[in-house]
Amino acid sequence: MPVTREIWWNVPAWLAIGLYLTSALGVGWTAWTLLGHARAWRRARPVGPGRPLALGAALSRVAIEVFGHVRLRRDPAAGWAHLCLVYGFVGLFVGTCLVFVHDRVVPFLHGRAYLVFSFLLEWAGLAFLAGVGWMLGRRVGGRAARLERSRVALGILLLLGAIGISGFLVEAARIAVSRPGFEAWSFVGWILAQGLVAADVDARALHRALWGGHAALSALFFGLVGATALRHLVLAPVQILLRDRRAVGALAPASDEEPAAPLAPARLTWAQLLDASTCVRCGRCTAVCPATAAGKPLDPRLVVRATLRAMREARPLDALVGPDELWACTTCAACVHACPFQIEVLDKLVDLRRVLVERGAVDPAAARMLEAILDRGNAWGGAPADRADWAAGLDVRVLRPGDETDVLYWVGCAAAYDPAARRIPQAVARLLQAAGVDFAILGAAETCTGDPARRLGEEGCFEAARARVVATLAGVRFRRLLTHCAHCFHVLRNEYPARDGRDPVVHHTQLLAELLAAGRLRVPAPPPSGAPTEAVTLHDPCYLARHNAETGAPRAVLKAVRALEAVEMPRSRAQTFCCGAGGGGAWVEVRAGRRIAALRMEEARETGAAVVATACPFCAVMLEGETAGTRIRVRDVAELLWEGQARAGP
Amino acid sequence: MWVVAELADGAVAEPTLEALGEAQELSRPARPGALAVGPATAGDALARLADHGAGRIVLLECAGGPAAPETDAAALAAWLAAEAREARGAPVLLLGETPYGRGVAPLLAARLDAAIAPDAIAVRPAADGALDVTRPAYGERLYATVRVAAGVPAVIALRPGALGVGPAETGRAVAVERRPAAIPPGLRVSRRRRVIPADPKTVDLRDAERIVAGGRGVGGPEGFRLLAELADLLGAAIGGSRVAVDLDWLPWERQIGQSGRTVAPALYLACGISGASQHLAGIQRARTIVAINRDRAAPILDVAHLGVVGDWRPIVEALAERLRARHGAGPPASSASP
Amino acid sequence: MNALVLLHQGLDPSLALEPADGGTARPRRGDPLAAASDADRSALECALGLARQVTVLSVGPPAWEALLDRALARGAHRGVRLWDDALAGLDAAALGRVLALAVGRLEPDLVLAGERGLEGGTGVVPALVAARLGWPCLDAAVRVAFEDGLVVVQRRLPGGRREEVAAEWPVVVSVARDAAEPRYVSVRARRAAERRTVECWDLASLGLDPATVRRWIRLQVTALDWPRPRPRRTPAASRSVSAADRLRQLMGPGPGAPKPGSPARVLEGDPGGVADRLLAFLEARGLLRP
Repeated sequence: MPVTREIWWNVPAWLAIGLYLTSALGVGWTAWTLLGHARAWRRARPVGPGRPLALGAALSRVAIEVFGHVRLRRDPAAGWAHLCLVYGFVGLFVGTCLVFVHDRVVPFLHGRAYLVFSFLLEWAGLAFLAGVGWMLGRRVGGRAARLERSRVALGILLLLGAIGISGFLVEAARIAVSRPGFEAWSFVGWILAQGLVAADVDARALHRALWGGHAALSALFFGLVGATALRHLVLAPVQILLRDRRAVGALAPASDEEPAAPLAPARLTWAQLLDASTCVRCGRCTAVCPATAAGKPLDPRLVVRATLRAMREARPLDALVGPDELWACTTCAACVHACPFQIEVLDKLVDLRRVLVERGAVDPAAARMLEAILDRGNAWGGAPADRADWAAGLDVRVLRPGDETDVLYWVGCAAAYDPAARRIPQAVARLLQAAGVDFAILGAAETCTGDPARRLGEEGCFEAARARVVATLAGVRFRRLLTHCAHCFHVLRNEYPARDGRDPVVHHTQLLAELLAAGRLRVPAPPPSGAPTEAVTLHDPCYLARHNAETGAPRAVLKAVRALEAVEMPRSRAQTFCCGAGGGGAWVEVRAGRRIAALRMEEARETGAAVVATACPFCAVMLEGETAGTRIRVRDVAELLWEGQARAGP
Repeated sequence: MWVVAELADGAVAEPTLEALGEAQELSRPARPGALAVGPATAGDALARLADHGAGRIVLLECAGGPAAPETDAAALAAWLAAEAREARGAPVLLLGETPYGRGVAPLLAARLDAAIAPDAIAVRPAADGALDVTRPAYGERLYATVRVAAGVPAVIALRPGALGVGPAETGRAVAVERRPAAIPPGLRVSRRRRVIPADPKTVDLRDAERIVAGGRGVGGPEGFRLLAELADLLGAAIGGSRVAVDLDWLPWERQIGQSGRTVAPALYLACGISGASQHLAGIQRARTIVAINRDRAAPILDVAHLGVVGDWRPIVEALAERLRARHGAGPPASSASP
Repeated sequence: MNALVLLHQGLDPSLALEPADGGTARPRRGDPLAAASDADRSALECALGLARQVTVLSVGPPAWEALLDRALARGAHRGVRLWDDALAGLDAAALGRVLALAVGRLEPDLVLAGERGLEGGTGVVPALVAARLGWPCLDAAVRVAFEDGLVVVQRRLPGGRREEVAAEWPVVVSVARDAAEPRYVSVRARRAAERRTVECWDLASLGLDPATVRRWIRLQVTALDWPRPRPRRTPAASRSVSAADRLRQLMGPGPGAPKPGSPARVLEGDPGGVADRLLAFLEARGLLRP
């Protein structure tokens, strides 16, 4: 018997026609539903700047995600299961295409090629079934808390399982009829065939029936791709290709038309609708959201689903999401970071906030904060003349308009007005002086960068604040802009007009790491015993670690303080858990559940560290508020470095 | 120099005595006069103003009933205008800046075309017969001194409690002159309609006269139910420390402390609260603090006016039992007195 | 129902001040002037809730235009700014008379003002305006409403009670800081709001001349300095009372911050006995009502 397989063996013409017909119907249905989505995207707003398509980089991103599943494998078990499923599916699909080629174009599946082909396909099928099986088991066993109970999802998994199993059974039935020896390479089918023979089943009839069933199920599958979350098979590569290349968490300016009008889908950008269409409701966003974890009424997944619903039902989005959900968000972007497709949950949420703000429906504490930014130039309502009070006795140069300096130290409002944060610039200033850096501050001329206003959704206030800062900066000359606040850093770097040609904004941890590496700052001597005396855990600020992908610099600085031994919290680096201050959270607290900072402090305590290191004054203030009853010290990395130096002596 | 006397509950209000003391200092060697508008029965109370330095006491009699500042001011101004025509100099009036005083002073000043200096905390004679009045300004950060020239009529409203009441000197009697109050017709007045009593259960803690508060030592929501019973019997509101709110035993509006409400009740009864500094910061202005705590070294016992070392539960139960017995069937009259 | 809101702009006392010459104080260099006080903003919010037509009136120099612009953006329909150089440095009595004339010109049914301004904080100007107009003044209102054809306000009394006071309109109401939460108007909304220009009046439009107005001034601020402790009288107890009782009379019970380490009486023992002594203590201080 030739080492090959007759493609249409035992398949009557009508069944073959049925296959093509039903498949065409299925594909047609999917195309139709996807076109419906596409029509809605086209009616939406165009995206603003920030989305140039560097095709090469984008394509490689797609390849990495589709074939490497990098983001999915952050949840290792689920990620690998899905990878198996995908490889299995892709393998089987490619196999079917090759069969088509063999049948219609050039027959090549003979002999060794056929054996290798069959063997590999068995593994593909097994991988596919293993993935599906794992997912079914997780759902049925109820162990994945972030998944929703969904009959549709269960049905799809069962369908996929049925397709896989029926595929093997078709093969088994075919083999059972004649059982040629070489088919042992299709080992699963071979083993099953033995069983069929032993059961004395009418293999031909079974084969025909199973073949028809397999075809029907496949056609159903094609049809469901458009109508269900399976949509992501088509849309995910598109979404990953086209997603925004702005930094995570950098917000786009608001559109200019009626700001207070209901947020109809047409007022969102096509990108926001595209990624809502891609969402598979895996719940990773909700699982990492600090507000959800603290019991606040925010559920990022619901925001995305509401967007999709709004799009399909042509209803305004603000009718589907309530204000309480919106104000709990700290804009930490953990949701965006966790999403396998990097769906911009944050953009939708802030757009909703913008609508509320324009209607005046804000918390009075938020209103006072915004008015303070406009009237006093800082969210605390402090006097501008008091801004340099932290520098008393430190001999720090204050720039006048027209002056020049190498490094302009942008101190920010938190350190100027919040007593708990004052030590940070004091430590930084002393370190810079020790390293001989030529730096100066703006003093009373500094005003709010507008970050809290923008995160709350008050674009007008942000634009006014930004214009003020830009004008101030234009009046002085400097080479580098230094800040110790992660929020100022993010805004100045990503949301301000580019400072053509000049060096980008640098965070104090970055500059300190640079100075340590260059030897301009002395590494403090180790403690007398030689071993670290205390454990320290670093709390990565969201706006530094996630929004700007900087996790190395703070660690480099900490490493230099050899009296401290670093331990990492479970949620660290880009997976860091917010301190709760972002998005206006430092001023407006949604009174539900627990304080977000309390949750983070619990996590810090569990590491057994005596010191919690931070790299942002907001984190320092929020976490310090949770240290009552513990002996934990919260210190910025600059303070720890300075303490280390002071301890070590000259 | 005259003092406008305010009558409350049949007696002269304390701020009036303060004003009288100040007026006496300023008008030496002469004595200030005291003016009041009220029913005829007020005469006896007013007679005691002689003990505090009044040289002349005039009661403008009007029918009983709740006084409206408009009618009182009109009557006073009419009398003063007539008096000023006879006597030399422009009248200078002192009164306490109570709610009554706040209502009457501007009306008097307008009718007399006088200078008005409210919220005064000191009055000193200055050169040429002028008066220097000191009052807080810029949110209590600075003191402003204003000068009223001699010969200019003035109404000076003194902040209650700023000057204190001097000792009474008995032995001088001054007859109360009674005159009819001349109220011009067609005067537009405001009317007090009613007083809405405070419900201790719902009153904002910042306004509550009495507070019963619980902390970690209370142990749980069921403990707070017992405290609520005691609070009802005392006519008090319920509050708690940050721990109690964090553990969800109380809603956040009931949190007392630096990050919650700052309260100034007449009575603050703390059960099972250790007295962390951020909590003590919120009760600094409580007039009487009673604390019950098992731990002798609890910081709150240092600041309490009366401390009790022991388990709060049996003590609270005993208190409640005794209060119930005292009041017979129901809780006492509400903390409001009309 | 037409309402008029009196607005005033002043230095925010939370900014650092330093005394200056001429008996005034000035803010430290670089501090911006504050906008309307919280109470004024509450007054505007009440007006917007009650009246169909809201006018805002301010006696202030051209620098105060921004104040009126913001009030218009919040929803006021008409803005009037009255100014003449002679109006600088008016005291409450003179300001009350000038405002009363202006109010007479504008003929509102209801005049609202914040209870307390920012800097002087005397709070008598609304009452003086009312007195000059012959209208009742309802002050310290935490709630303003129309009921039964009357303007009804609620005032705070000690102990969390409220007092309801009513009068027929036209009436002047001074509004407490927390009577209403001022709505937030976003920056974009402010820019987009129809820029109705603010009307500027001078003394002539009221039929006044500078000399007349200056004759109305009754007080001069002569000094502004830092607070110093001032003596306070205490009643010297009569000789018939024992020394211990005299001390007790002098020392309390009274307001004062609890001082750590000050001796407190501490009770211990069986709950019944403790409860009895506790109740006696409360009764002695008048904290138990019969």
